[in-house]
Amino acid sequence: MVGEYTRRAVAAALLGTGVGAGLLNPANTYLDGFAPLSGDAWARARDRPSGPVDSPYGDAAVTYDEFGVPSITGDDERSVYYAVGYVHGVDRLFQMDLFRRRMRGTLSAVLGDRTLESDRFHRRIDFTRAAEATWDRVADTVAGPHVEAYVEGVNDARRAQPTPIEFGLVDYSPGRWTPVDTMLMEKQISWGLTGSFRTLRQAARRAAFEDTVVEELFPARFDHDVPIVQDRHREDTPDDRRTRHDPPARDRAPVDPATVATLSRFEWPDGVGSNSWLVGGEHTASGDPLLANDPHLPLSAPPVWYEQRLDPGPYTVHGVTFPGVPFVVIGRNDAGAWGFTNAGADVIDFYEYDTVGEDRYRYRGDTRSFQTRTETIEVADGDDETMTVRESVHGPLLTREDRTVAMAWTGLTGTATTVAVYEYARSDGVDDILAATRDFDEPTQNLVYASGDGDTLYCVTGKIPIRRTDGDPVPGNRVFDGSRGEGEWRGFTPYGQSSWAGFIPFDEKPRARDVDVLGTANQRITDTPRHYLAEGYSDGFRAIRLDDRLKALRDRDAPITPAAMRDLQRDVYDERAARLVPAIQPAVAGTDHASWAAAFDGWDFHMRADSVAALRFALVWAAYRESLYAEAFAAADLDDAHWPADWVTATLPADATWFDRLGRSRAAVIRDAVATARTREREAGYETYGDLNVADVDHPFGLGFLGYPERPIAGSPATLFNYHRDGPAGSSWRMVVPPNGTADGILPGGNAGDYFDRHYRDQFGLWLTGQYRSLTPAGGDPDLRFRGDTDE
Amino acid sequence: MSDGWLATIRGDPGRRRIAVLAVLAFGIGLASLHWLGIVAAGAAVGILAPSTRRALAWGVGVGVVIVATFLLQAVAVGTLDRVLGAGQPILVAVIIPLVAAPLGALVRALE
Repeated sequence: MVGEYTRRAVAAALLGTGVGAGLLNPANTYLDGFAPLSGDAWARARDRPSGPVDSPYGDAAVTYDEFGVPSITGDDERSVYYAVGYVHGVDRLFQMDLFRRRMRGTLSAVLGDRTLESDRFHRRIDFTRAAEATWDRVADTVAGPHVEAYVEGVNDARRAQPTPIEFGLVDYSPGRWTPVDTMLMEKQISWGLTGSFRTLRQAARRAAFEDTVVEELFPARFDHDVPIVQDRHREDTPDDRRTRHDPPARDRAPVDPATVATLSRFEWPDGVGSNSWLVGGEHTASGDPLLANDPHLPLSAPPVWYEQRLDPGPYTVHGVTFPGVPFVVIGRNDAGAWGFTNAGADVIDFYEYDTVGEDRYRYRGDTRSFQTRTETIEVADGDDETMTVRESVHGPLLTREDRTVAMAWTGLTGTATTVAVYEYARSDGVDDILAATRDFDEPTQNLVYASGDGDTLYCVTGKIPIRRTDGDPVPGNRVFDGSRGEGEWRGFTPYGQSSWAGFIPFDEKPRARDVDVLGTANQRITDTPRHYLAEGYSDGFRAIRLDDRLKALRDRDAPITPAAMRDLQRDVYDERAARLVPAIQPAVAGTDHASWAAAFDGWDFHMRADSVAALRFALVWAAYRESLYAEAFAAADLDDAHWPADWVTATLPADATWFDRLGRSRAAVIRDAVATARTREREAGYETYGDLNVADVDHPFGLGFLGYPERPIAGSPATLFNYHRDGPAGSSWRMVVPPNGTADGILPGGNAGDYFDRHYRDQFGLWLTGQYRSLTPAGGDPDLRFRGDTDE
Repeated sequence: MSDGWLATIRGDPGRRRIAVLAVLAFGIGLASLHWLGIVAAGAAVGILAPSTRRALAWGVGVGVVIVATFLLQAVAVGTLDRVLGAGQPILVAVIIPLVAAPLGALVRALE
């Protein structure tokens, strides 16, 4: 009897404890998420998205092609953009929600305290209020109703379709999508491309090093002769005059390197750059111009781009957009094709103040109060955090420790870029594109366009401020005295609507039309800017290679074909290697490194995955930078983000004063680097470049099964076929378009963001090896039908 | 309790088989709504077992059936390869019913 009672007691205890524990966190989270028949993580594994769908905007149909790219047809534009919202809600809902949470500063509400620093930063900048001002700007334009239809489509998919695996993994449900969220996507990409703390980093360098070092290691201009707009393009460039390159005036006070390092975490990683080029029809086999574009952005699973083809009747447009944005950003329509690279223009400034107590500051002779508000950050499984956010007349305050620095950025006002991008799809030639681009307020980009009529166009998008101190234009390359009113922007209203009155007029920005060949690779835009455009540009390595190859193609006897453009996008020639390798072998001659360095004999400087020389160059390059900079910069409390650009490293001459400062010759530094490289090669067991240069593209959660398979890849940060393993970053979309022919393109992964979709990673292998797909309409029966006549 | 209809079912293999299949189907339905349904499915089948030991074994069987049902669903919608490739989550998904269903079957021991 006692034994029976004991048995019952044990059974009851086990049952009660088991069920009870299951109802408590964290076990309940796992059970809710992963239980096989009910777990939210498996919703898309058990039940695939399906239709038909009742649409408030009319009939539409979605047909996915063999790579999961939707071709969407409909009664009119609104019916199509409703369907676009629906397929974005089906294919990329988690990515969209993650992006908006990042920009709104609400990541911690679902991910816990590990994302608090990000939430603090994004709330301090207040991208959300900027997005609200942007929607105020856009809502009543021609694009507004289409954004509203899109938003409704996203929300109907969110309500009706099973949710992606990530919502089950983290155990939350996505909230309502809004037009402001769509505007936040513009803010996100604009911040990534133009939100730079370079000015603060340079101020920290100026505080740490003497002027001669700063001038040698951080020149305002890289010494190459391949700007985007070259002399032969200049016929349409208005009234160019050589601008003085004044060295920046002294900063008011040293910038705290630790603060800069913290802020720098919210910039995009190194490697955000791009390639694009135009070939005029007189040089092509078809007689029509050619356009190629491959934007280099952070690589992730799923990709940052979503490919779509839209046919609302009056036009057809095919290309890529950002999930959360209805309109094709890079692509082609019936009349032409367009693409972008980052212009590198300076659209951000920093201001320091004389403060009076904690909440007041001096401004042009007055004492003003900072605008303050309290933000509450919700934290999953933790206590909410409150923070005070302050704002000056110039913009949000970044720091409140020993210094008070505010930031002005063109993205913090109402912008009309959405209208421009919408109009691109409807454009009917180069004049329409130019007209639409006037509304392209952010980000600053190099726009290339080629039409089926034979026109080509290069121009710079985005509003660029003319900063003025005491009425005179000044460059934006230092921290301004905000209390004195230095470096101010006329016509700019943070978080409101700007007149842009004091900005560079659209027609005074660099432009070229009807080019023979023109290449952009984030290099200096022009040698003779009429206005100050940028504090600096990317290394010129890709630009030099692109210029060389485009001119060689132009000057040969045979006409240029799309195949030659695709071949150029696969180019892995590394100009850094061409400049450094000739110094390596003399430096190690007569040492026991000579035989190791013999791998460079006859090397063509191509960073192929199966190359031994490419491996050794990559190892020496990394070790050479460390030998040059690690010790001296660490001694100045500057991390590696402050190290000089690769251009400087590759071109630093043997008689540079930096070597005097180090107390070693360039040859000695190279020998050290070779010794380090040999050790690393041996210890890691590397045999070829592909052992080191591995494409490792992860999901934001870092879970292996959600990422793409790790594979050897060719290319480097300095090659046209671009891959930065630190990041990672690289070609986020490759596209070659003959405006009157079939375009080719490829995504680094798959078009579907749903792990259970067969198109989650089906383009990854093609992208990795430089292959393409034809951008053609999907055939067959629709996969999703939208019915607009349900009330009849 | 076991003197009534339940004892009759337990003692009659034919009726017991039908009852087990019926409550198993019902239990899978419950398990499709919430993970507690897996516990309920294990309990419903376990209570029909002639002994506690058999109940636990049947509970494991219920877990296996639930896993199999899940995988068959994935086959039906074409997601099986991605489900099997889902790393730790799929291991958790397999373990949950193999633990929860026998746990429910422990109700047999309360008699």
